[in-house]
Amino acid sequence: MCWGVPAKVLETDGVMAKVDFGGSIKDVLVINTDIKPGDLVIVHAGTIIGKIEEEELDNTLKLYGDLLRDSLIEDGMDPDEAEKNVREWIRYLLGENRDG
Amino acid sequence: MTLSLQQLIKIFRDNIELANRVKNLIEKYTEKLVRKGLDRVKIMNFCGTHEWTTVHYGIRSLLPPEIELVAGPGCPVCITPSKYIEEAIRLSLEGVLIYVFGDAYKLPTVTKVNGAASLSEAKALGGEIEIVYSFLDAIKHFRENKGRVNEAVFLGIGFETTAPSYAVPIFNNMVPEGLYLLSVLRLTPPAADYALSAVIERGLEPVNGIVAPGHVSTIIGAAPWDEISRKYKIPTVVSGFEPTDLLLSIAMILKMICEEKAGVEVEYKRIVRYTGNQQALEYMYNVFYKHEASWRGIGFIPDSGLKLRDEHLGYDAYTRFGIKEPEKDSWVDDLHPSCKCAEVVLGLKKPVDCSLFLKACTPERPMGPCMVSLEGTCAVWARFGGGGKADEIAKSLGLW
Repeated sequence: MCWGVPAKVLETDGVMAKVDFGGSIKDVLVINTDIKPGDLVIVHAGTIIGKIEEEELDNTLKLYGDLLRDSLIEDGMDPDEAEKNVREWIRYLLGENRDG
Repeated sequence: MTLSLQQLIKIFRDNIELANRVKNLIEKYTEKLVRKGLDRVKIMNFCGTHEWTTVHYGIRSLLPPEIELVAGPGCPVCITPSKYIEEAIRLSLEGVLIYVFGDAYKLPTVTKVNGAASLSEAKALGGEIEIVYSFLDAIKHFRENKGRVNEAVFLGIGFETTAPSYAVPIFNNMVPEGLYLLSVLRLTPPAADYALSAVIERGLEPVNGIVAPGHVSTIIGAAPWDEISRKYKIPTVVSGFEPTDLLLSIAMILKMICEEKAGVEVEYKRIVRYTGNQQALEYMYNVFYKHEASWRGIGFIPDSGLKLRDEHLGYDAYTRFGIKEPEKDSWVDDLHPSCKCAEVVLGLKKPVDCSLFLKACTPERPMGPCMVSLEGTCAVWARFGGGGKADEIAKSLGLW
């Protein structure tokens, strides 16, 4: 039941917000005072429960990068080479999936 | 740089190459653990949405046989005691409008009330019931129907994720007079603690790692999971809900087991903070307080429920309608005698271990609460074939 759906904030008065669920527009409740138009948020049961931090999205991919680097080094790859490999992979993921 | 919803989904859902790489990492860590002598690794989740992702995307089939993913208590609809539904049915048949989430509409009671064993049956008998998406929608509907409807009750099911959606309108005086909340809110960490100790008490294989619920943790933070992890000396990863999130969380847990690390790490960093959503928590605890609450088929767990504080009793359905909550001394397990939902909820049994599963109990005609909600373990397994039993039954019926 804790289903959360990503949405983009279109406008807000600090109490309510109009959000876009990829085409479907709905009025939802706001908890946090720092929510503003353009924010990507997670909506649960008509309430914005949190804001998606773009910087933290990069950090999630870095988590993956850390695991991959350890694994490559363990397989015998030179640490510098492993680092290069990981960076290329993360750049590929972000470049493929994000607007410049 | 700006991120769109489609790009977010592409990174974590439709990304076979990333998923494959993480799968390879999981295999590597598993081999390492087997070399260290650990050839069974049990990882428990505490969120119905994680079980949904696991089964819907076939995550179990991607893992080495040594890794077992177990669903723990993660579905608030599944653990809402029958008594609360019975009270809602009674009120609906007396003309009080009941607002309910669609997920709980078919939730069966153990005792019929005036011929109805669920709110959907009560509706068929003339009960006043409206399915809504949120408390906010109920507020809107109640305002629009004032005059036709004098009094209404919102059946307030949910975990910490849902609690702010009740607390914010109540705190900000947005709830119209005549609309009451029947709080059946329950808290996840006390139930997780209860389930982990039940596994040990029953002498079952211990749980080696926890996938903690991402949206509950958006509200409460990662800190409460740190406490549980250290108590049971096992790692926890707070995970997102896309399939790659879950795979990455499993890899992180296995790495922590390899390194013999307890404590919590956050994979769902894009929304979860270690200390949670402080403003949401302030609203929650300004409006509610913790109490020892009942869980369906299980009994009472200390500090596991939320009740309205005295200053908000004007919105309290218990007070307005004289509803008594179940009492510890007279508690009787409220399930069909053959139903294994309590053990399924606690991660002690799988849906396929229940003799009713997909025979007498189906999503169309649920007998147990875990077969009702879209995220109930039995309902998820019934829909997407979690344990292989569905395949067997389908074959035996000549469907394949």
